Amino acid sequence: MPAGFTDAEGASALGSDSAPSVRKYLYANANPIGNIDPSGRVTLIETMVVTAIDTTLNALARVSVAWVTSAAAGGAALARFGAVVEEQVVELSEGVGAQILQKNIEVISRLGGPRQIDFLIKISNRLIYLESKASLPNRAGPALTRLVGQIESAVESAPAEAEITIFAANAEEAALDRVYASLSDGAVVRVNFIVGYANLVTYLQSLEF
Amino acid sequence: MNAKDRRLLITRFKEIVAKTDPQFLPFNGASPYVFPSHLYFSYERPGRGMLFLDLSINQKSDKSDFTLQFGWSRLGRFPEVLSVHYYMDDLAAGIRRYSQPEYMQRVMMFLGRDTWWCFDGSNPEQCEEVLKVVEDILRAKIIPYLVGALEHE
Repeated sequence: MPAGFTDAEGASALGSDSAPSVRKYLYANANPIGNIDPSGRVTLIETMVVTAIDTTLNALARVSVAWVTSAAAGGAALARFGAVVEEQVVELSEGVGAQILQKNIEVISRLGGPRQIDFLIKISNRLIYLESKASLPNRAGPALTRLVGQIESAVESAPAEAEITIFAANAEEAALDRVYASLSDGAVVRVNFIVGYANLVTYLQSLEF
Repeated sequence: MNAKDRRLLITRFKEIVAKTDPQFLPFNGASPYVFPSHLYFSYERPGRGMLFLDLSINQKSDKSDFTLQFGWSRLGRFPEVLSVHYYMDDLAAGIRRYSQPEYMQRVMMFLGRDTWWCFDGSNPEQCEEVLKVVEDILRAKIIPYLVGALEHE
């Protein structure tokens, strides 16, 4: 067993000399409460992240195929793609112990107008307005305007104790920068952006305690 | 929800409201709190206030579900509050918000969790079952609760 640093008085571990990932026999990434490890090799939540990525990539492949058929088929497949991402977000959130309290949360503001945010979730005693996106807009246009409206309305409507988090399954850094540049100062300070399923899990687990 | 199912749901819901309490009429007033994918009904009692029913249809094209909201205003306008702000307190049994000048709440108050009913026109039997549940909840829970708010001083 690798050496760690201990508190001499309480005899409890304060830290370690190696990252959890390189500890060959560490159970559940050193988080036996938040994770379980049925195989002894990966945690259940890691398996769920891989499944989420796999499911999303399959849905994305179907979008490409559908666009070849027709614009209508492509549009329908794209909408379905967004729904697949949303489903994975629900699975992962529940997988780390979050509770989906409501969906399609109404938010409103003078800047953004009447909009909806996908979920209100609760983890421990934290409330999160969570919007799920397949990706972030990669150019200025209606999609960016809609997203900024959603965020501004959420910022104005959500109770002060609630976090506001925008999740994107995938997004380029330039797209993220563009969204930030379009937001009001108040929104920039208030909103969290999470890109990628693994980061979503890390974020939610960080709120557990 | 696709356009065809949406039309069917709206038509049937109007019939249910008319049958359950004909004093509720379609509300077409303007307000920043009126959401484009919702269908509203109001019932005004002069000097007392206005009651509202809200058929909240999922605005996403790939989703075919809906829920109900309800509320009131004693300020002579569409209520300028969001139902989400009351969701948690009101799930506790016995909480009544009649003293609020304006109020909106989801049907989850009576069902214990956020409930969205699937409405798929290609399955007419399932649609009718859902509409029956909606009618029962309107008659037994929502409308008596709203009328109680108007009677409250």
